[in-house]
Amino acid sequence: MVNDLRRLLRDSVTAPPPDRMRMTDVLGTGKRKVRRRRTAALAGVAAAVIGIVGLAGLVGGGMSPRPDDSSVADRSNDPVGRVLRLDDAEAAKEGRDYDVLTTQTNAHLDQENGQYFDGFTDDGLVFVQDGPRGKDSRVRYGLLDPETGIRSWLPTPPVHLEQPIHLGRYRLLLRAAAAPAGENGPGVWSYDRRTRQWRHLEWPDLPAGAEYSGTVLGPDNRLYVGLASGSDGETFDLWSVAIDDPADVRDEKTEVGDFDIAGTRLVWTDVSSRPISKVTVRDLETDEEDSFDPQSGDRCNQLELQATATRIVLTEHCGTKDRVRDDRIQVVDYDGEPVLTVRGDGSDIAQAGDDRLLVDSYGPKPGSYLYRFDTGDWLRVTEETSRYGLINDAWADLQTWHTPANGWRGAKQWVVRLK
Amino acid sequence: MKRDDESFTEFAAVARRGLRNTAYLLCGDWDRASDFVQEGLIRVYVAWPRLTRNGGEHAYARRAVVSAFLDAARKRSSRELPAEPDPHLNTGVDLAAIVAETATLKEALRELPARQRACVVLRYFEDLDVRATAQVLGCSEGTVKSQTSRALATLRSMFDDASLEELVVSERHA
Repeated sequence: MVNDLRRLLRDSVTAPPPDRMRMTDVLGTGKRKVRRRRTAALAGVAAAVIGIVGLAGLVGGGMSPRPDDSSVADRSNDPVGRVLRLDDAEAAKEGRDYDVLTTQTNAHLDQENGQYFDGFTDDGLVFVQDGPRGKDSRVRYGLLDPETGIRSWLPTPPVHLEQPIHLGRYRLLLRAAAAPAGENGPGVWSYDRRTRQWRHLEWPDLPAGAEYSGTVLGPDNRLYVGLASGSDGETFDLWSVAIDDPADVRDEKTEVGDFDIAGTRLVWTDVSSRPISKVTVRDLETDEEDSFDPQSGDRCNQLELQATATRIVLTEHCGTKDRVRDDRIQVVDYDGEPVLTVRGDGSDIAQAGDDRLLVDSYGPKPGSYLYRFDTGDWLRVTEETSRYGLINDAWADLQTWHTPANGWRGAKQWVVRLK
Repeated sequence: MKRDDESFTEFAAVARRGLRNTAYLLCGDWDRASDFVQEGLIRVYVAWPRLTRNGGEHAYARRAVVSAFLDAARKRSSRELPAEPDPHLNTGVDLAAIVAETATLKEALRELPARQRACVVLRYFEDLDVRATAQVLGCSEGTVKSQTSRALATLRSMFDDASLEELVVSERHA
């Protein structure tokens, strides 16, 4: 006997109490809003633009201006620079383009948790998570040498850790699946690989009750965290904390959308989940700042940012037309010059590296695609990606991706060496 | 009543029960669910002329209700849900056989961040596929997959902790 999630959800709503919502209230408030919109629309061109933005906010509930909202006037939405399409990719071949080092198959992720490859450490080991499993939700973490297959398990931390922040040669930093109650902070744990000790990191002076977006390790041994700055989830106040000093908490006095750090460069967009107009780069050593307009489409919602040593990668959703999604991965250099844009229905950045880009596609041309900046190769490395949200990562010439297993009920993760 | 109002009212009368069920699973409180449905239906009303031209009224309404919930979740803590048993539960139905599992599910849903909860409800209650869920949430399909995976892992752990039979996901209904 098992508990089926779909059945339990249905059972949960079998006995609703009477609904006291009155349709007259809905109609009355709706009419007032329509009148306000019409008034705004009559107030000239500038006001009309505001009206459109207002409607978009209303429609999207503050999440985003819906790119598929036909009320938004068509403006320049074309990608700039070179465009790569999924159709243009050549099928990759094992042996010619890559060799498989190791794999991890979980056949029944629809029924139980499994063992996952969660990224590479700085010395080329695979960080492995096993579980949670059993009555006590036991989770194990380990390091796998992909060359030899040797797997060593770490001492078990006291809480379930989920999100790797930094997998270093000497230290692992991970965020807890749920921040401890009452803690002012994102719930970070540090593992010292030399002493094999876990340590909980806390910064009591971080603002209480904040919602965190992104936790990135900087070159100055500080963690940079975004704290929701408004109710819309589109901008965040940037704070930083010293890894080894719980009293060292700094308000960076910077509002960001999405952000990332590569080397000494802190990179951020002006907003998230909306069209962006500015990308800013700050050198964390000199505090010099530069910004540029990446010329993303005017109806492209900013979804994710990844910074690499030489390029900035922006993931965008630019609308749906005739049921075809216009998803883009836009790559620019640090001067704001376009490098390329991958455009395709259902395309999503899987992982951006210094010399490559791994793209997952869930649309009509599914699978994982690999672009190599050094050779210009554009390869379709798999014809499907699994339905599970597994982490992709790269280290040196190693790369991971994942495919379905057991008829989509599970997933297989691959570690390959690119040729 | 104008013809547009009549057609909107008819649509709302048919859709409100289903929308309220979805909103309840998102927020865990029937009164707040009604508030989210009301807010969502107001958004539908504003867009009604265009919606009736282009179709997709129900999808739009669902998206509006989910947006209302996510907006509220951002403004409050996403964990701020009633901890007490729901006093409105209809006592005319024999819930004995399902109360442990549904109570655990409700408790487990409370533990999920708002967006993960939305993914679970849209995928497994509304039976939307990854693509449609991404449309509702205005995010990428990859995000839906990762959020859903994390949510399922947490839910399974909660069921294990409660010494209940394992939690599985049956195949999607035809």
